Amino acid sequence: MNKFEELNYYEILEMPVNASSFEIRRAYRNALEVYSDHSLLTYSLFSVEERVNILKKLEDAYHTLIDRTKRTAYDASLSDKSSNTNIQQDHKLSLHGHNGRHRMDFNSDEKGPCLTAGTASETSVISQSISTETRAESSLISKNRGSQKSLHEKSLEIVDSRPTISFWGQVSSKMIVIISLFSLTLIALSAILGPLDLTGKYFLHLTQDESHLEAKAKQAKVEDADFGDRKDKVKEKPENLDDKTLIAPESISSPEDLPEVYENIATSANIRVRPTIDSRIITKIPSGEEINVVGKDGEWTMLKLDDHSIGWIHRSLIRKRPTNTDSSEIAQ
Amino acid sequence: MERSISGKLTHDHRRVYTVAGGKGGTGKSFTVANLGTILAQQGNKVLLVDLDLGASNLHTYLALGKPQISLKQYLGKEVNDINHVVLETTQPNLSIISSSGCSLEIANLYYAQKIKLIRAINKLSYDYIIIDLGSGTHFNTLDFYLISNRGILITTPEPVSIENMFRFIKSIYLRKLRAVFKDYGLNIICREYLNNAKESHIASFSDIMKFVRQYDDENNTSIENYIKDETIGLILNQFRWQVGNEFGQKITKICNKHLYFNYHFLGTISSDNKIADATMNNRVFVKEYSYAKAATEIYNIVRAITEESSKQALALPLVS
Repeated sequence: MNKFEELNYYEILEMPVNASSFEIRRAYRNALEVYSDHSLLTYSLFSVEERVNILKKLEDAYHTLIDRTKRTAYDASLSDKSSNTNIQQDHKLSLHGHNGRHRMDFNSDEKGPCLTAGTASETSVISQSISTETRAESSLISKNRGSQKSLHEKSLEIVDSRPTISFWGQVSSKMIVIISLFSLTLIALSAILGPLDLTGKYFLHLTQDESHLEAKAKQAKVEDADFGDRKDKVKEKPENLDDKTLIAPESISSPEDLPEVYENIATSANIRVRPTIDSRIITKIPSGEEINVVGKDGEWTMLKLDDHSIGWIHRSLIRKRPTNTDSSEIAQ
Repeated sequence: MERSISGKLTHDHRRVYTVAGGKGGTGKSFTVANLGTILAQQGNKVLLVDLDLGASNLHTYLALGKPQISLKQYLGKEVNDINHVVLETTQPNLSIISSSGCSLEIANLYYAQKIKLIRAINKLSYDYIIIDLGSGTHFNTLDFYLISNRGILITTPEPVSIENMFRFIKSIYLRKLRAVFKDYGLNIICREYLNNAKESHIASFSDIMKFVRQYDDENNTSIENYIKDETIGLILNQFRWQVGNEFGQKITKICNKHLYFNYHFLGTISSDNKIADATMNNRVFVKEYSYAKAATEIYNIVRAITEESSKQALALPLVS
């Protein structure tokens, strides 16, 4: 393993390159515990100066990675370093090629203190992870698209049922014409031959059927319009959410989108599969646990768990935490 | 065939482990006795060497009573061959070289005696040689520790123990640097540099290598590899759940990030009253209480050691 001064921010905080803001906060908090003055794990290991430098580096790592813009720039710089290191190594290989030696040059002046021979492989792993992340994101998007498509298809199914309705309507109307002609004939016959109530019953049955189908079609129209409205709401105005609007978890993923940090205030709060009191409990979280809120539905709040799955917690069990991420406060 | 730092070839595939801890009372001798017993039970030919010359007690953990022959005779030139001071124990395949009876004068060995002892140990032929060291960071202890590049450090989850372990690792690092510089004829140049390095702020490896490169650009890669070749297994003894189950793994990570060498966590040994019972009753713990939780944990540590050693069995002598 590389020594501290050679580690990148992800390695310092011991988290994957695709870590969420929730994971970054937690990793930072854990790291502060490890390197705090009273930690048994690092008891007497560092001088005051060394400890201050380490804590400063942790803070830099946290503030860089928690900020989306800075993080993107940092990731890019890691990739650049990787490619530069590769070029330099290639150059060295060509220089030392005759001797058959490949010298690993530690702390070369051109590269600065953070770069080592190991950085190339690390950053390649990182870039690989980034590409994996991109793949994961794209799969998520496609999954999201898939879910949207399925909703759309659902609405289409309802819409598709309308031609069916009109088809049956056409058939029934033709039949009505035929039957009404037939019934008129029968009425005429009944007037002549005596009372027959068959036509009335049959006619009534058909009208009920048709009105039911028409109601269905109207409902489908309303639902379709409603779905369209919801889509617009989600797309255009995520801040004007009412309690009934359901947000996809992917729609809020960064601290910029959701500045508030929530925490659990109950001693032990249940996280459930669905926003109902009788649904299955996925897990329990202790008091004061930070919650990664991704949406809400009525009295229930949707949150992202550590394994990126989604759970629901009752609104009364959580509260907003101030967004100030001062290191001392987190340490406390 | 491996090439030692001195350039001499060794064809030594024994597994030599030196067990230290910095602080006294962390359970070094207890662990060595029980690890050796289990390895011998598994059919390995095992030798335990007690190099805690000032406070020898390994024989007591093996329920041997006071040994009649020990290193005292070898160092006092009463016996010429070190094999003659090897004692068999009640456990088949398990032998011991005790240092019982060594006086304080012997504890502070002369340089020639130390070299003689290290060379003699390096010539012994066993599957496993486990060397029990004393506490502290005396240069003799450090040199005995560096007999092998596979060390085991035993600590307890207490501030004093952790502090002494870190100090021991830093001392090993400086001692190893001194040795390697001496090997490369850089001793005089580096002595002042290392002497000026404060213990609270020992120069980082990168700084040292930068310094070395000024004088010896050709050999810096092999020096670097020699320093990095040191592997240390950590055992957390007298473990109590209050410190958290992951304590051992966490401290291993800290060492890997900040302290020069390669570390791996071998396991924990829980605090257990039966250990005290076994010692009081003059019994070998893993034989007497093989069902106890701590015994199971020692078995797991043995498994970790054998798995690790099967990957790479090296025993490079520091002094040739």
